[in-house]
Amino acid sequence: MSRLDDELRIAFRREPPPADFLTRVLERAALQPEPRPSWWQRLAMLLGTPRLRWVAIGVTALLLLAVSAVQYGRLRGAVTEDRPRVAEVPPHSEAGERDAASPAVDGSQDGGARSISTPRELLQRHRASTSQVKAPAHDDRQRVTIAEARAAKEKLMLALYIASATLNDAERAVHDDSPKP
Amino acid sequence: MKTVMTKSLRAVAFFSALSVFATASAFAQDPAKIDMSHLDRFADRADKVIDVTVDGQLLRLAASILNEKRSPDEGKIKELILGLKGIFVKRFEFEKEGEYTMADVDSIRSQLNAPGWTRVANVRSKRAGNYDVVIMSEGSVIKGLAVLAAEAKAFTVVNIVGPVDLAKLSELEGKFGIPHFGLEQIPGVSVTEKKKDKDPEPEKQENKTEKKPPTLVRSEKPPRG
Repeated sequence: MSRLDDELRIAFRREPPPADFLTRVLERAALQPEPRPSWWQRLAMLLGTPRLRWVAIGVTALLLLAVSAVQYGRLRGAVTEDRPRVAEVPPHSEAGERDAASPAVDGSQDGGARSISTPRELLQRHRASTSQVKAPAHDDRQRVTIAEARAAKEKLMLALYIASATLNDAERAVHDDSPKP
Repeated sequence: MKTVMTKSLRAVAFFSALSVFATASAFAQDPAKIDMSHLDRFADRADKVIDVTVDGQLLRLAASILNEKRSPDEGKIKELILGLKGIFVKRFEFEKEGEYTMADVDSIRSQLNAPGWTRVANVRSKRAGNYDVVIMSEGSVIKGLAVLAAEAKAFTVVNIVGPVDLAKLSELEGKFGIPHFGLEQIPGVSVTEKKKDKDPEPEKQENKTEKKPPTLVRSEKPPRG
């Protein structure tokens, strides 16, 4: 055997690893941070089964909800407009009107000499106060609505008048130009 | 796994397309509505401009005040406007002839050549003027109406969007008049009348006479029949 053979044998001989080798490797591996997936990797993860199914259901539900909300809004608007918005006179009770006109009921006008004790008087006082506070705003709104509705009606009349007149003019022109027997 | 993915993707695509279509159709302009915005350029040349826009909201508001018990005519109008989406009218009256060309009229006519529109009357007369009555129908239901009247000194475009009964509309003429008060007071109605230069004392005249609502200039024609 040559010397080279001996050297090679020595170099390639099996040597057992140190006792703490495995522990050190595991520790080093645990210390390394996991590589963060890029945004497209995350997107691709979403599109993988079984997540894709949930994404599909979610997207569809969201779209349907959005469409439903839009349609509901439109329908609600139409229904609100269809409601009879015009009332000639707000419903006031006679007692309320009388009470509003005669504030002496609460006793303030006669120097507080008269006290209110009966439930009827208390009710009348309450009606008087509420009709004084709420009625004007309500009436104003109604007046505005009635005025708007009347204006819309006049506008509609004008539009229909011109439409009808123009249509009849066309009809007359057709008859005028047609050969007479 | 690939099959499941493909199925899911198809489902998403289908529902997305469905939703987009539903939303788009909800917001899309009605095909029976014609674009009249470019006619506004006549306003400078016109002696009088009547521009009336009654959209769906105004129609409903007007319908709420129409009462068939008060007047049978109101009942007829209420019946006529039921289901309508809008009435759009533009009328330009000129002092002299030749203020607009047929090319101007054709800009509206070209829209009425689109599919869906059917011409029911087409009159070309030097004496009476040019008239086009075009309807958009689906089966036996009329979905929209457009009337173009190109007279010598006036040009009128009427567009009604929604199901309209032509016979009932035709009957309405003469059953109600122009509103008693000035048209300028109606919101949404713009009536512009130019003051004439040849008027010697316009201020004095205004004081003397009350403001009257504008009337339609109708060319004299022999009575029908």
